[in-house]
Amino acid sequence: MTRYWAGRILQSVPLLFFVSVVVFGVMRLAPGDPSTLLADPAYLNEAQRADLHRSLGLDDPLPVQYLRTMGGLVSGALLSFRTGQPTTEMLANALPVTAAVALLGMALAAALGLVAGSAAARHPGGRLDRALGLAMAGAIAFPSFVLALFLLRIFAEGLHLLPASGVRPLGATGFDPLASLPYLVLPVIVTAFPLSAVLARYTRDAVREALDEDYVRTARGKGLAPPTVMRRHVLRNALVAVVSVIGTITPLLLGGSVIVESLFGLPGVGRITVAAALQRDYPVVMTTALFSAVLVVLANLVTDFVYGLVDPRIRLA
Amino acid sequence: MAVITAPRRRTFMIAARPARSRSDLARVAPAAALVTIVALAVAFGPLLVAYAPEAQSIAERLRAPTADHLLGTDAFGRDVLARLLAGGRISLAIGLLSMGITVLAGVAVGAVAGYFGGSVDALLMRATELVMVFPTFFLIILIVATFGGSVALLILVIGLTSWPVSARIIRGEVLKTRHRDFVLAARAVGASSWRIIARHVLPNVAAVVIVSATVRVGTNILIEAGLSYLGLGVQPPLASWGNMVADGAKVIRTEWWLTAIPALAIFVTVLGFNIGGEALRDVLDPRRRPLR
Repeated sequence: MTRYWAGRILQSVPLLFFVSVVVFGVMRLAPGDPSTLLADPAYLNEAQRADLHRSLGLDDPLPVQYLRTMGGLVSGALLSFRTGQPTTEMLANALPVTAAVALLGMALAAALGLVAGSAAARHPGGRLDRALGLAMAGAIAFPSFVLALFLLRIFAEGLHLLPASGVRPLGATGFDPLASLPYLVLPVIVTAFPLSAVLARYTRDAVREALDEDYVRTARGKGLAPPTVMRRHVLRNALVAVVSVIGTITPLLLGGSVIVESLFGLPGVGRITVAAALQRDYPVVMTTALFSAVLVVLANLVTDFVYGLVDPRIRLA
Repeated sequence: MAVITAPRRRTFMIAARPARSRSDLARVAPAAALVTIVALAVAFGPLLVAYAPEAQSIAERLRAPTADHLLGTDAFGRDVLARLLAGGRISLAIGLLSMGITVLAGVAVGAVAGYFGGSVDALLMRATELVMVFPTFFLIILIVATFGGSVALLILVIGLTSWPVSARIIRGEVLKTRHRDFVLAARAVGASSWRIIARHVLPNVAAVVIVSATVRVGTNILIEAGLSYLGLGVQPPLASWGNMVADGAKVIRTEWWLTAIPALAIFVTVLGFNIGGEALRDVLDPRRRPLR
């Protein structure tokens, strides 16, 4: 068992190496010189320009630059071109915001998805199933940034119930979960909205499939109350299929965080990535991109692990 | 090397399928109608509108809908209807062409991996995993932010980042097909592998390909809209539904319809492709399976 998981973790090393090379390649193939973003070349003479270029390490051969970047990433010595701040520190500052929105959004989506999905599956093809099916299709097709715009207009600007942007009251510093809660309500709703529809679909299909199993017929045949059959036999088995979606959903969550964070002005990972990509701040992009790749790899590992926990049949073959 | 595999679930095809109350045609009709209306509107609509989508008129900025400007004008005095139709051409073109790339790459990788199996399969599936590890939207943003948002680049990037899911689905289908009797028979009479894939395997996985391609168009239109909304996609003055929403959002307090109209266009179009894909799945592929 331990050996198996050790193997799985080792397998992700080449994956991450590949990701880092591609990100590095994309950024270095880009036209334009990052040093021009720090100082207008018109105001520098040739020597100063060369100096700046050298001080950013842009003169070295690409493999050397790559190795230095990766080494700095691990040791925390990698600095942002723009701010001079260690990139790992920037990531650590942005992470709680993104994590809070993503986890709360995922929890809300899971709750909504499980309820809606199992309700829809109870009578396949029935009125409720069709209505929920349409609602799910609608929620998936509705662009989340439009939802965010109208929620902001109604709840923040119209009714003044919730703050429109940022994560903390004016003057506050640090990340205080309680004080930030009102700021997270709308972002969490927008994050959960499309996800809950995706999860509801998986749940509906999984519950429907479980309902057709022999053991459910047996449970009904021996006279168990329908709610008990649902809870103990159907939902428990359907959960296995739903858990397997977590891995697929993590990249969606990260992608969604970009839109949600820029709409609600949240200083999270998605927003610093977009800003850094637009400003050619290679070290920061490298840090957040690798971080998100690690996250996706981890999510897949956790999914497989939880898969084995909830369904003892799915252990090592 | 131990592998985790889910036990094969038995599905009772008869029991798992809700009784068919409507004909196949009736299932597909509403979605097909939606998509056809949108396609016809963006194809021929621009010919009927008197205004050019990029023509500005400061004197006529932010007009509410009138007989002259059926959907009003935006902050630059541009005709909203003209922009909506022109933007639709771009959004649909991006959605359809990037789907084409996704499907071509997905079919090629999926069919070769599934049919040949063994080390070819292992290699291609590792490559697929590599691409899947990238959080797609992050990668697209990185590439578009670095190289600039041209329509051609958007099509290429969206298409090339979304093929792994298709490849996996198609591989799964091909695996089921490759030991069927008609494949063995074709091999027995000496058909080459490529001929068997093209003539016998692919026609049998066509249903799955068509269904996933239909849903893919909707997803890709949403990705384009999100990117354009963030200012990373189609660049103004060229119209796309995403950047029209972004323009409208600046005046959402007073001229809310400037946000609502392009948003509705995105919603209706994506919904059309999504429910179309689902209806096609019900019709072409009786075994219900969750769509990605």
